[in-house]
Amino acid sequence: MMAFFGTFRSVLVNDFARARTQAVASAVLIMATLVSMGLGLYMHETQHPMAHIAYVTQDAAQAPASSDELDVVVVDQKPAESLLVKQRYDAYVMPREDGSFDIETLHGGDFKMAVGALVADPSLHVDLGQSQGGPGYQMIGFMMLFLLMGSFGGLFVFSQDKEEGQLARISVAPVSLAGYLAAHCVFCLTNVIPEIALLAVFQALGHDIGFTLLQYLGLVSALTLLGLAYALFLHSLIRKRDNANMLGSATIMLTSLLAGGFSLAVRHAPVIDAIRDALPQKRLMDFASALENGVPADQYASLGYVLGFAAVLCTVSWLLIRRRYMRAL
Amino acid sequence: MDMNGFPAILAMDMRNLFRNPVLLGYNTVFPIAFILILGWLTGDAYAHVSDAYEYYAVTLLVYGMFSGAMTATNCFMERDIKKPNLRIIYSPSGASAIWASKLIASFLFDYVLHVALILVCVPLLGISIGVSPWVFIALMAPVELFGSALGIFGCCVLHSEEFASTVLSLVVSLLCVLGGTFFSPDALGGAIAAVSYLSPVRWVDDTFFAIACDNDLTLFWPVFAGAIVLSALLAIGCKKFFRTEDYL
Repeated sequence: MMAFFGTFRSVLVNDFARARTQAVASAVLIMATLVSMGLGLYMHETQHPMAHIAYVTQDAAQAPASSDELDVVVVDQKPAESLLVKQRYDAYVMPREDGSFDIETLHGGDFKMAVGALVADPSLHVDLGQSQGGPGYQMIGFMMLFLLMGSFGGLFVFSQDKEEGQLARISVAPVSLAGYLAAHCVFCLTNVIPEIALLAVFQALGHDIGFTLLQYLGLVSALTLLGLAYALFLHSLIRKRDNANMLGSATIMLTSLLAGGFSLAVRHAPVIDAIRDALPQKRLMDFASALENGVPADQYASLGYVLGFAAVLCTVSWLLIRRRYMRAL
Repeated sequence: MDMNGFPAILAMDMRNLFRNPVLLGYNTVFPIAFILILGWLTGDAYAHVSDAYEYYAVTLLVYGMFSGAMTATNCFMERDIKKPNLRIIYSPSGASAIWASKLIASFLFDYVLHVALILVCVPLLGISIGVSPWVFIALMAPVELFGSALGIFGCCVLHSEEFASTVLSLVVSLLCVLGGTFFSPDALGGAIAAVSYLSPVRWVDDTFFAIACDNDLTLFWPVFAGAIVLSALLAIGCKKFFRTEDYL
């Protein structure tokens, strides 16, 4: 026990000393997360019209007015095709002589009809069923990618040690491996402090952030822990740290987007849903959603899945580290 | 700088890159998976799902070009080549051959893989990259060069491959999120669309969209020249900041 705390303390102090030399990287990392959080809050608080249309006419007076549902831009010539692909406009509406419209859109028939109806009568209320969850859910979705990548960044202390052969030295020194790893993990967890601080600022400024700060602390720590377990696993599995880092950031991006990060439109299919449900990030989002709706008990199983997932990765990493790196070189 | 040794160093760097399975996957399988997943996720809203793929094929190719920076950092201080590089520093080839060779090798590697990616994706997903595809492919070259130069410059300035790669991957991801790689800033309108113009990714995206969808080449030369000039500036920066001691 003495060895554990002794090692823990000295490794933690050492980690912070090493982090100081890399202040630029930490600052960039924190900035990226904070900007993304600001984006999440902004996107939640602004109203999104159902469609942006370009109304092609020489006579601006006859164009319909913009409403909550429809953002109308009047143009005298049909804009470029690429603006439809880039979603600058969802449809080009061209009035015909007889009072009906030609509508050009990349979207399907339902959408075309809804736009036609709205142009003819702007006071209509059309709902195409786009929902986006509460502010807290959305905020977690925007933080997820950067928090997970941040865990990889924070664990540089471990990957450096590993590549420089420190682990073999630890095995022959009177220090505790558990204490050593725990210190690295606690070091990584301190990454969440700026994020929580920003959330406190948002709250103090009167924004609705969805969760209490304590709930955020728990959710964000769970995400960081998940990232840590994954980073530890990849670093113990793959000998070259560059490769581990690249594979890690690539898989984190793919899975985070699939799990509902950045509130991307969610489409369902049996196979994809099965894959999605296996992703710990998705399960954490499920729990966040239930928590925000006041029924966390519905998704305790999902929270358990996330923590279990992290625990399994940590255990496997522990075994790999002992087998592969703790022998004399 | 004696150019005699340069081809040999370049060949060695290229061989190393093509032998790295993670780098190969990162530049081929990863973008394809990304295009398929994102295109599929958002495909519901479109009459033809190829229009969703069109958006993500262009933005993710641009993302791939910018993340050439990660290939470059990975190539730059690869542990296996540190020792040979240390010898090169003291050889007649000189220290500049090291970073210049890594820059060109990662540029060629990324460019070849991304062009191959286009050859597979365009017919497979039924998307268009313009009436004359070579224009699109030609404009990729300077942007790829910029990505590689950015990665090497990051290594030279930050003096640590690990940190260069972490910092650059975050910077590139952030520029891409802002610039519209994952969701269209125009669709969100207002401040988001305005802020997106701060990201160079947005400008490059717009240029490629204009070429792919409208056959509009007005932005071709500005982006082409801009990327070349920026790459040259970054290369000058590499020469200034490259420290041979970093290899020790």
